[in-house]
Amino acid sequence: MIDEVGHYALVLALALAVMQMILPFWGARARDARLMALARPAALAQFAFVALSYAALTYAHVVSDFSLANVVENSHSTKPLIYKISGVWGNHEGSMMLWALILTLSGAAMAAFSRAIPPRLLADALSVQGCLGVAFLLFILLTSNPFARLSPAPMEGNDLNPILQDPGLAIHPPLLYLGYVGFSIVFSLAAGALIGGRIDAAFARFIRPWTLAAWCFLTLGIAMGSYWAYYTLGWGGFWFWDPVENASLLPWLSGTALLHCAAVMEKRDALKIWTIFLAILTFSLSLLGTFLVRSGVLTSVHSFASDPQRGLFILGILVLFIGGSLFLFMLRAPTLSQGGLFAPISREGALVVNNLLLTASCAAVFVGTLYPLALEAWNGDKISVGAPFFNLTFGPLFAPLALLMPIGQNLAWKRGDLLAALQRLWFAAACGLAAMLAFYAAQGAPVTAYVGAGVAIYLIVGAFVEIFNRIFPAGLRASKNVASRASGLPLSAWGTAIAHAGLGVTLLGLAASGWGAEKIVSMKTGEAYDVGPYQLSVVAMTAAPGPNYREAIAHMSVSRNGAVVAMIEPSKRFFTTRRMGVSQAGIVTLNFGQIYVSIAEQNDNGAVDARLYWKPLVSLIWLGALAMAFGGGLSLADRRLRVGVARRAARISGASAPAAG
Amino acid sequence: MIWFVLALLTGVAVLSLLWPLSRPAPQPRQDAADVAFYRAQIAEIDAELLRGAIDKEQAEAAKALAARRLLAAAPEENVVVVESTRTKRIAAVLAIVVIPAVALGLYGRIGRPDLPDLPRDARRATEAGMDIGAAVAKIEAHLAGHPEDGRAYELVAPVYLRMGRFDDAVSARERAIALLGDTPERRVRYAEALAFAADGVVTPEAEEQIRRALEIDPKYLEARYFLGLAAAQREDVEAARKIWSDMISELPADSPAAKAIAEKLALLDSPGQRGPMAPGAESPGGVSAPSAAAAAAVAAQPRDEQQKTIRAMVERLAQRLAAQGGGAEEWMRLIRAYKVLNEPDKAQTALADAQTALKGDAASQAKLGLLAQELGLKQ
Repeated sequence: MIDEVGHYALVLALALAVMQMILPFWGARARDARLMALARPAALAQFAFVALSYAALTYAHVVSDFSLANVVENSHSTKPLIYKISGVWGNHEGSMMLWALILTLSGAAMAAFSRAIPPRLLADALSVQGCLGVAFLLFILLTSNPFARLSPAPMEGNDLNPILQDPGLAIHPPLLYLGYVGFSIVFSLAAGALIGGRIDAAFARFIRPWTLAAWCFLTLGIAMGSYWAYYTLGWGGFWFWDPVENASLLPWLSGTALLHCAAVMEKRDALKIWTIFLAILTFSLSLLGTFLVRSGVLTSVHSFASDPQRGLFILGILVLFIGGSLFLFMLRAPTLSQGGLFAPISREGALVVNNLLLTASCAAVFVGTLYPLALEAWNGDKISVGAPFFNLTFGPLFAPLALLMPIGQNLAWKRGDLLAALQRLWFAAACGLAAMLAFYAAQGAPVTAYVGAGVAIYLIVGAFVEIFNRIFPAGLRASKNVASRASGLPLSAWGTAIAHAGLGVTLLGLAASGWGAEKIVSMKTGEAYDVGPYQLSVVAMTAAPGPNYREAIAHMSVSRNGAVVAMIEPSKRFFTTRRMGVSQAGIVTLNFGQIYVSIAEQNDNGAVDARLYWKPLVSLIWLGALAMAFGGGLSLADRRLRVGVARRAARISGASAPAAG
Repeated sequence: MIWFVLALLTGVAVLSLLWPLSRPAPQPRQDAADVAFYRAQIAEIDAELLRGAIDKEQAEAAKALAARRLLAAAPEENVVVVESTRTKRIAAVLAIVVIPAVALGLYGRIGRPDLPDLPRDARRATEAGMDIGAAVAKIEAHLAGHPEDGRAYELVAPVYLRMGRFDDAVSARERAIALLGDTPERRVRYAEALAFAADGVVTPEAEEQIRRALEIDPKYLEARYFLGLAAAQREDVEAARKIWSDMISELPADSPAAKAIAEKLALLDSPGQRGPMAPGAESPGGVSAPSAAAAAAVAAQPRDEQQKTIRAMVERLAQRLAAQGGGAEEWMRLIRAYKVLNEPDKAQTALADAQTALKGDAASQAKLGLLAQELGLKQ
C-alpha cells in the first residue's frame, strides 16, 4: 500500500501544481488578493505531497520491495543501507524524483520566506513555478515513473551500478540539484517580474538570497562531482571537459555573472536587463543540462537508461520554458527604464566587463559541448572536442577575468579611478610576481604552472586588498578605530573577499598540476617506486569480501627520504551481481598535494598493473571551491540591505577607500 | 483500506486550497514591500554614516536617491486590491473538481492499487525460508580460499540457478566436472545450467553435454529426457516422440517420471503450445532437479498465462538490450527465444539489431552468423 500511496501522492502533487499554475495567475490579473494568496498553500501542499511520494520510494528501496521495477533495476538486498537510500537518485526515474522534490522545495521555500515580495510578483512567480512543477511531474508520471510495478515480483534485484556505490552518490547529486533547481526560483521571479512588468532595485533584493544559495550549492555540487570523478575513475583527472560536466559549468558561469549583476542592480538600480537576462539564461542552462543528461543524447555514467520518448518530452519542456521566457523578455526588455548611470571606468563598468567575459566563456563552453552533438545529428560525423579546444577558448577568456577581478573590486561606484585602483593593488601584484619567481626557482617548468601560480597568489592577496583599505583607510600606521571598522564591515564584504580568494586557491591547485609526476608500472610485493619526491612500496596484497562485492587490496607505504609518512590501500572491487569491477584509488594528502594510486586486476604472475601519481597542491582545487561556497554563505548570512553610495565628482581624486559595498 | 487512504489524501489536497479560500483575504498594500525596501535602505545609509564608512554629504545624496526611487516605484494602481465572492466561488469549485479529476483520472490509468507491497523481509518469511544470499556468500568465501573444492561448487550451483545467476551456475558446474571427474549426472546438470542461461533453450553446447553423458551411460534417464526436449525445441517432433515414448515404455507405468513425460508427449501434439520449456522444473522426478523459483512459478501457471509470462520475460530482455546493449550471448538468447516463440520476424529484427550493436566485434559476428544459419534466418 505504501508504494501506491506514494504513487498517488505524486499524482496529487501534479493536480496541485495545475491549481498553483492557474489560480494565482488569474488572481494577479483580476487583482484578487485571495486568489493570489492561494499560491502559498498550493506550493506548500505540493511540496508535502512530493515529499511523501519521495519518502515512499525511499522506503521501498530500503526494504527492497522488488514489486517496483525501479527497485529491481537499481537495488539489491545486500546493498549497504546508505546506498539503498542514496541509490534512490542513482537512476533515471529516481533522479527525476529528486529533481521534482527540490523543485517543489524551492517553490515552498519561496512561498514560505518571501513575505517581503509584493503579492502580485509573488503570485506570478509561484504560478511560473507551478508551471515548472506541472511539466516535470508530468514528465515523471508519463515517461519515467519510478512507481511502475512488476507482477510477479522477482526475488532479487540487479544492483546499482558499482561506480555509483560510493559516498559521493550521497552528496554530489543533491548538492548539484539544489544548485540547478534552486535557480528555478530566480527564473520564476524574473518571469513573474516580466509578466507584471515591474523591475527595480527591490527585485534584485528579492532574488539575492536565492541566487546566492543556489550558486553556493552549485559550486559545492560541481566541486564534489569533480572530486568524485577524480578518486573513482582511476586516472587521476578532475575535469574532463565531458559534456555532462560542461552542462554543470554552464549555469555556474552564468549564475556567477548573475550574482554580480544582481548586486549592481540592488545597489545602483543599473544593469536591469542584464540581470533579467542572466536569470533566465542560468535556469535555461540548467534545463539544457537536464536535457543533455536525461534525453539519451549523451551516454555517460550520468545518463542511465534513456529512450527517445523522454528526450522528446524534455525537449518540449526546454522549448516551452526557454522560448516562453525569452519571448517575454523580448516584449518587456525595451520598456525597462534605465536605472543608475555610471561611467565606463567604475565598479559597474568593471562588472559589465565581468558579465561579458563570463557569458563569452559560457558561450565557448556551450559551443564546445553542443557543436559535436549537432554535427553528429546533422551528418552522423563523430568528432571529439576536448581539452585543447577549451584551453584555447575558455582559457584566454578566463585569464583577463582573473587579472581584472581585484581591479574591479577596488574601483568606486559610478565613476572610478583606474590609477588609484592599480595603486592600491601594488602589494598584491608584487606578491604575485614574487611567488612566480619563487615557484620558478623551486619547481621550474612548465611555464603555465609558475605563471598560473603567480596569478593565483595575486588573486588571493588582491581579494583582501579592498577589506584592508577599508579597515586601514590611512595606512598601517594610523591604527585608530581599527577594531570598530573591522567589526563594522558587512559580512558580505568578507564573503566577497573569501569567495574571490577561493578562486585564486583553485587556480593555484590547477596551476600546480603542471608539476605532477605520473608512473604506470607493473607492481610486485616488496618493490619500491619513486614518484615525485616520494617512494611507494607494496607491503602486501590481500583479498577481502565486502557486502555485495569481493575486493583485492594492495597495502602500500609512502615514504620520503627513508621515513614512512603514510600508508595507502588502493583496491579493486568486483561486484558479483553486475559482474563489474571498480577500482578504489588509494589517496593520501601530504602538504595539500596527493599521492594517488589506482590498481587493476592482479595478473597471473602475481604482479598488479598500477598507475602512480604525485599531484602537488591538488587538494587546493576543491578547497578553493569550498572557500568560494563559504564566501557565498557568509554573504547569504548578511541580511542587511546593500547600498552602493556613489562619490561626488569633485571628491574622486585621492586614494581613500571606496564607499560601502 | 487503500481507497480510504487515497480518498483521505485527496481530501487533504483539496482542503489545502479550500481552507485558505474560506478565510478573510490578506490585505497587504501592493506597495508595502517597496516602502519597506527603501525604508530599510535609508536606515542602512544612516547606519553606514554612524560607522563612519561614508560622510554626511554622501549619505544625504544616497538618501535622496532612495526617496526618488521609492516615488518612482509606487504607481497608484497597485494599491487597489479587489476581492470578489464570485472568483472565490469559481476557485473553490475548480479546486473541488479539478484536483480529484486530475488525480483520479491519471492514477486510474497508471496506478496499480490492486498490487500489495512486497518488502523483501516479509516475503522471505512467507515464501522462501532461509536467507539464500547469506549462505551463498559463505560458500563463495570458502571457495575463494579453497578453489579446488569441487563439492562446494556442486553445492552452490543449484542455488545459483535458483537465484537467477545462471552464468555463475554454468561456471560452477564446469568447475565441478573439472575437479571431481566426469559422471553422467554432472554432465546433465551442466547441460541444465547451460539451458537455463539460454532462457530455457537446450543450446548446441548443452546438447553436446547430454551426448557426453549418454556416452558414459546410454540408458541415463534424465539425459534422454533432455535429448527429447532438445528435439522438441527444434520442432523435430518425431525424434522427440520416439525418445520419450521409449522412456515411458521402460519406466513403471504409474511412476511420477512416466506421468511427467506422458504430459510432455501430449504437448507435442498441440503445436504452438510448446514454448521454451523450462528444463529443470519439468524434468522427470527422482533425480534432484532444482527448480528455479521463477521457472517453478511459470510452470505452475495455466498454459496461456505461462506463455504470457514467458513473453513478458523475453520482452524485458529485448528492452534491456535495446536500452543498455549487451554481450553476444544475451543477443543470441533473445534471437533464439523469438524463434522458439514462433516469431520469426522478430527473430530476424533482433538478429539485425544484434549485428549493428556488436559491430566491430568479429568473434560475436561469427557466432551470430552460425546462429542465423542454425535457425534458418536471413543474414
